Amino acid sequence: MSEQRFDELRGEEVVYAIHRQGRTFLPPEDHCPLCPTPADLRSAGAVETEIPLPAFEIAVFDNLYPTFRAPRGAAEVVVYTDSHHGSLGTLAPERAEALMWVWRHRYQELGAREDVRYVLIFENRGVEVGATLHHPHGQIYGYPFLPPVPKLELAADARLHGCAPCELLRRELSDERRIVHENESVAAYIPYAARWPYEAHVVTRRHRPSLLDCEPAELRLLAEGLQLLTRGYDALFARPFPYVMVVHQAPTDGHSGGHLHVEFYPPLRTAIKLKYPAGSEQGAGTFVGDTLPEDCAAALREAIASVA
Amino acid sequence: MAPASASPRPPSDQSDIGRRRGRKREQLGAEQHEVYGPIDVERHLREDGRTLILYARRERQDE
Repeated sequence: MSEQRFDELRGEEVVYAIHRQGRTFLPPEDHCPLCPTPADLRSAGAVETEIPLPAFEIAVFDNLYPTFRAPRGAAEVVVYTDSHHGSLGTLAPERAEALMWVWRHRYQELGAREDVRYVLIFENRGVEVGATLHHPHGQIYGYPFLPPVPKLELAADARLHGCAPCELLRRELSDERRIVHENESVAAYIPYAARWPYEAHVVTRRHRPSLLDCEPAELRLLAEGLQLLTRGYDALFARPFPYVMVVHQAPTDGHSGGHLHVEFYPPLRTAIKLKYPAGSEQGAGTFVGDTLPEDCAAALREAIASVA
Repeated sequence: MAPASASPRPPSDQSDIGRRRGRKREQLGAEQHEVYGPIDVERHLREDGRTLILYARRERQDE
């Protein structure tokens, strides 16, 4: 079981999940725990993967090495496909749309639990951001407390006297320089004060606190926007583009506030150079950028156009 | 993995639905089925107590 301690100096929770130290680390493809289990291997009594079936579309299961688990939260793995190769961006469009419904289902079910106060859907893509499995997948944490970032977003709502993402989207659409993609339901942009060179936010145009508030067409267009952005990322430097992707939604602890949007934190600043959170970022909490968001947005916009 | 610029738009996997729908399920005793929007949800309880949920797109009316 994980242990939660409160850091008085920073005023935030820290979670220790020491059983995760031994989790599977970058296994070869033939030992991937997220691949289907071939029927011949199963009949031969070989070790099964986490999904003991010869094929599947999308699978979700309780993490074998959970950071949280009932009755103090949840940790799930979301496997996007039974193919070991590919990415969110290269899924068939129908599969990506179905993934939005899977996210919605998990948000609804986990958010209804008494021990889950915040549902975080995320993906760590690439060894550069700590991914330990190559198979296309994401994760979901159900936090038994409200973490610092959603708290900051609620504080931004108060500071801006309304929904902060709505106001920031209005500003970005008015400015136009940092917009990288738009469709009828979502807009994607590198924010005015981006912390990462190619950080991007995909924001629903209408005020939708969570996936539960979206119309089916909005979910389809959200999937389309996410796929275009991630394919654009890959095209940008002609290489698989590492990122942390996080779905931001309303807390599930009864707080009002929240506006569905998906944030990407990619560590690359060039094809071969990483932006490290170092002295100023970690010690002072102030990000120092080597690039301007407007310049990065122009490059990313062109890359997205090349794969649209 | 090939860069996305080499293969821009992913193909549809609509034709794959039938093959997957016909997959064998005797390996896992189905515990619970539900329909959620356009997807089927199939929930299983594994021997180690963990839950496995399988999601599959339902066939559309026009297919």
